[in-house]
Amino acid sequence: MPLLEVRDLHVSFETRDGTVRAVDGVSLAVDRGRTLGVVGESGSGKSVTALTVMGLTRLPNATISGEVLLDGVDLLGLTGDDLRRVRGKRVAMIFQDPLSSLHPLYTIGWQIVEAIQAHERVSEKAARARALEGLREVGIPNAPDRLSSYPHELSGGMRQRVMIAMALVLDPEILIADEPTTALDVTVQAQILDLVRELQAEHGTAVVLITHDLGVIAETADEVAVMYAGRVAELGPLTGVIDGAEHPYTWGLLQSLPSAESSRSEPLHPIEGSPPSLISVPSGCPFHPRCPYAMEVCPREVPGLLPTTPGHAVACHLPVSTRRAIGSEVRSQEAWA
Amino acid sequence: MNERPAGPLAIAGNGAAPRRAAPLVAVEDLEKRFPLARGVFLGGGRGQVHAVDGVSFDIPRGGTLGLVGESGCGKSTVARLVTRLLEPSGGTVVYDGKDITHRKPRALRPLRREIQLVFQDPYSSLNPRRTVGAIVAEPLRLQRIGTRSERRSRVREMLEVVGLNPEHYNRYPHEFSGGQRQRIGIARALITTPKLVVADEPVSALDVSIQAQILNLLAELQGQLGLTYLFIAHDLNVVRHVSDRIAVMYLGKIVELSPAEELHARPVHPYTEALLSAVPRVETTGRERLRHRVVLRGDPPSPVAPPPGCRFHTRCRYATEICSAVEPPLVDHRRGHLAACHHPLSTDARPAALASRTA
Repeated sequence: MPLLEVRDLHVSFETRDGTVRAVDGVSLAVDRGRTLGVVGESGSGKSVTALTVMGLTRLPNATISGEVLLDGVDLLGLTGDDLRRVRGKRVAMIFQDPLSSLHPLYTIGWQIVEAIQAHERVSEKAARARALEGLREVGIPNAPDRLSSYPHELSGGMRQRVMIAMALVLDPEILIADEPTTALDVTVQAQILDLVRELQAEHGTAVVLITHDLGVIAETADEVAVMYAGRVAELGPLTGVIDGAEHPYTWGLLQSLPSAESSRSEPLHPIEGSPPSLISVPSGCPFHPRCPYAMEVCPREVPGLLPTTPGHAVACHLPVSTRRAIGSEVRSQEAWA
Repeated sequence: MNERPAGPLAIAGNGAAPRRAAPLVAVEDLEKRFPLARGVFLGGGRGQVHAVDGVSFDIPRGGTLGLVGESGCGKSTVARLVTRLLEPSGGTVVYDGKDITHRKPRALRPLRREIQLVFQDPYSSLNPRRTVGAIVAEPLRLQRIGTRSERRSRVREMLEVVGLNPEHYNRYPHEFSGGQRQRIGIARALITTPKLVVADEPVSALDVSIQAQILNLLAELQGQLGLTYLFIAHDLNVVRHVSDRIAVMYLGKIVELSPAEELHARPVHPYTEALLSAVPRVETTGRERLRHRVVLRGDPPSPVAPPPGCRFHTRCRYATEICSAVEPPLVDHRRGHLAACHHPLSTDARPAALASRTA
């Protein structure tokens, strides 16, 4: 049994403009010590899926169905103290923008101590010692001084380290990281990704890494879920999804990237059109209006996420042989193959 | 004194006669200092940020110079100096043979037709209360070009050129997606038929599939309209895809300036090497590659108090004593491949330094 399993999750929000179907039948799983990369563009439902796992989408206008199983216990059914015992303690989350996730008026030390004392009965002194140890572990220089620093006194990379320290200080089983490096410079991004990897190896934490950057996925994930319009388009092991991509949307993402080897004289191969509004998601396969291989069946029927090889599943009406043929052609054109 | 290589900064490759045509933009020893206002204590911590410190480059007509660097390196300030939205504290900006370094706003007005900007955020750079037609026509109106109806037909043409439906003339920005909004911003920049377009992170706010659409559009338009681009971005792969030459900035200075493919293939400056190796790539060998990755320690130092000598020495794995004492000049290492480093990674100029460094 996987550590965390999301089964047929649906999340929609009633708004003035209509019903927003943010997550529409998503199933995912992640094991201890593994990294699940979730990749997709804005509005693909990747963040709403993560927030729902944390119980953070329970708004008056939200409708949530499905299951989020942590060690077999459905988190969607937990409320009050039961939920609080899981959130932060067993499942921790870090966000894109550390500046808006940290309270500007309290010191770093105060905020980490608060997080510890919210879950464990320990003295202030013991909590402070653990906060210090946490800051050291994430590589913050002058950690004792930093305990009394305010968030604005730190750089973006240091703030994200503080967030990671705060998330990991209670030794959670799962760390959900939603675009943790998007706001950071590339050299700092490399530092943070390395840090997450090291800490994961040390503690055996399962990581769910949400990003729009396929490059980040390629360097960190064990399994990959490609999301589009609230659904999983392709799911499988890293090499299967990146090198053996079988969904036209995944091909489109890979071909859109300017690579280090592509020639300047050749135009890029973008995906035509733009991602759909989640209020009026196209019928059938939501990708069909932008898909160069769309067939007659595509606007009519929603394709199921069906296995193509063990562990690798694809939601596409194209026959498997056609997908593999086009897939290998796409790969041979691209420098990333 | 700012050392410059003897030869002109022509595009390397054919190596023979360098281009003699005057560049559209020539920037020489450009400087910008901002005073530090410290709250109400005006007399107290008075200091200044040296945001741009001795930057020189040319952009040939119809060419693209890519400018890369991390946040705070001064690349956006360079954009604002070249377009004269800011006045330089030192150095010169020569546009089309004319020195515009200290021109007064009124005298700059005619040039605003020829020099246009495309911004990063297609949400905040379009006025939400004006129609697309009015937004795109604005530069024509300000420049008093054409009659109302002439302007209207020009706007429709332009919307079509950038791949938007001319019928959407009367819609408002919120009715468009991010990529479409960026197309509106591009239409507005091109409506006055400029010669120079300065694009400051034009695709970094867009989804990857849309990024590729906009990059293709910019390339097409350059070919059609003979545009010259100064293209600023932090994504090295994006910059490489659009640029003839790339300048890498660190803490207000250009540390490397080279033909685009050459920069990627054979970086000379250790900072460029680290930047290149930090970009995550889609390759099976991703995990393999991690082992060879250069991960820089720490954050970029504050531009208020840059380190002495080579500004990169505090984070450089090759740094020696000389680096903290003497500032390295920007010199030519290989036919127009310039870099400012005491320990160049690959060079025709001083192979001995390379050998001793790798030992």
